[in-house]
Amino acid sequence: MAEYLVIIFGSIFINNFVVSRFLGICPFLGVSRQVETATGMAMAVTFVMGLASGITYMVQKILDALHIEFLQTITFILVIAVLVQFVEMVLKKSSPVLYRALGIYLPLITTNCAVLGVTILNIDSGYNFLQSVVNGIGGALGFGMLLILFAGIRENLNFAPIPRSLQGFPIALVTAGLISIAFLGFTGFNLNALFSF
Amino acid sequence: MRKWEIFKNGVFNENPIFRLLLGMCSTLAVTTAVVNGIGMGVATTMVLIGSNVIIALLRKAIPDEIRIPAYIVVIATFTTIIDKVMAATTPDLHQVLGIFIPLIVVNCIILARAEAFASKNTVLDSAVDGLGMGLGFTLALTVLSFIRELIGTGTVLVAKDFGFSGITLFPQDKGILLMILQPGAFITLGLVLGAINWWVRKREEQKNG
Amino acid sequence: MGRKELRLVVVLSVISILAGGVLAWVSSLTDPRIQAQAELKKKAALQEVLPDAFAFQPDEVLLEKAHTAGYRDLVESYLGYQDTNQVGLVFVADVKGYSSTVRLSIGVSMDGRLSGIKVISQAETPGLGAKITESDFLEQPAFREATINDQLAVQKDRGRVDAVTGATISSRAVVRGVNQALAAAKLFLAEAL
Repeated sequence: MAEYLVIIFGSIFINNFVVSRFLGICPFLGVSRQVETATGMAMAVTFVMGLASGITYMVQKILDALHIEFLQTITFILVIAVLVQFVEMVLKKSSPVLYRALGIYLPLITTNCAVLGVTILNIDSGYNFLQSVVNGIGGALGFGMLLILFAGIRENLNFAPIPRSLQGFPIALVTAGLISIAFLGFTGFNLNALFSF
Repeated sequence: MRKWEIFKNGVFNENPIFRLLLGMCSTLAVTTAVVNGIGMGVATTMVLIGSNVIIALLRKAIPDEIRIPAYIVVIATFTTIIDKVMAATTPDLHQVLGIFIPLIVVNCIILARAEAFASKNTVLDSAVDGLGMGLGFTLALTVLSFIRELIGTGTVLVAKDFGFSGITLFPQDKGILLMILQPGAFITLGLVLGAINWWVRKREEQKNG
Repeated sequence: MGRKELRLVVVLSVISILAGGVLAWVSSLTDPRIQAQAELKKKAALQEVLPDAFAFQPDEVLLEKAHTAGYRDLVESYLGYQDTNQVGLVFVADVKGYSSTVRLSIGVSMDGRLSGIKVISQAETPGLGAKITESDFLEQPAFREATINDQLAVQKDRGRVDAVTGATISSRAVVRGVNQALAAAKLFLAEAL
């Protein structure tokens, strides 16, 4: 149990996907204008990243068995693309409410580098099946938390007097930089000691 | 003349990072040192030219319904080739760039150019477009990493793979360490974008006034 | 399936097969070089900390013994030879640093002196913890003069090792790895003599 807590808290706070690993920056800047859309995106990403982590773990086992590891990038991205399509189809049929909430974000997820990133990181870190899934969900939670926080700040930025040249993306990036400074405080935090009860 | 226009468009008018804001992840992650920025830029340029050429070549053969998966396969193939070649020739750089080399696949610039340009233009034009966009990307990475490496460490152009120890302009303890840490990436890009916006607006005002 | 769907499947399959073929060919060209690079790097990491040795032989028994004695950060151990003479030992240790796992190689010569330390890989804070890779830290007198009978510590812990400014945790990690290697070497050398 402790081991999974370390992975989850590690990927939310210490190695946060957005501000520490720089994964998923495009949706972070693109879909963070309103809290509502940010929440939808966060939920869709968590769903896909958890699923993708599990599936690519099994795909990697097949690649290893056949000694065709060089196909890793190509198969992983295809798995993610197919998965996103599949999730979209299932949601459309089974849960129109959820589909209306998440549907428009799903196509954007294929090119969200956080998804491909986490699947490759899982393999590089030598995680087993459950650890991979936990890492995928933890990473997505960290991404989602920041996305929603950031959207909250950006809604208020609209009312701030900002020099014209800095309006929009520039001030958003500087704000992200300040958040990133706060997250630097988490580096070096010894989670193993915290969870070794 | 048209080729020159296409090329210039990629480098300046539609610079992927400074004007279109595409490919942000690798931009922020690898610009800690000029050599990393240029390395990433060159790798991405290779993939861009390669995928643009192949996609332009196949543009009549690929049916519209499956064009996105087909493009992704082509881009992923070139990315893996670059990944392998870099691991074999520049192992230190390959290690530093790490996961961001396979992530070239999801760099939006490449899919965007395939969709917006290569699927509608000739092979030669597409190659020029890939080169222009790639150089624009590389140029932006170089500018950002130059600023960060200089202010952060006082030394620029450190390149271990190529046996170059860099040019020291001031001692490291006078540098602002934050610049090469993660916050420096966001803040530098934000301020550079702001400066470019200011300059573009100034020029337009002059033209109109 | 209509003719149109068939065409979609055929085109996508042909592209995928071609892609797979090209990648198989490219990796058959590059993989031997990648492997050679990795081996070269590995040998350099051992050679640098035990300059007298030309050949290195992995020693699992020694590693096993070190683990039983509680030196669990050591992950590899080698005997270094010059021709047929054994000239020393090299340990590879994975120690937990500040923000990453630091991999070190540590060499000990047959007369029980620490012959060298090298940081093989790390991802500590650039400009602070990352300075543990520099010779100013790794080649300081406290390390150069250390023997298997010493138990090293940074100055903050009342030892002689001058830690990197602002990076006590990273420096402690290196010291911990070195101490374990020295202690494990002591086990071996006590037996050999």
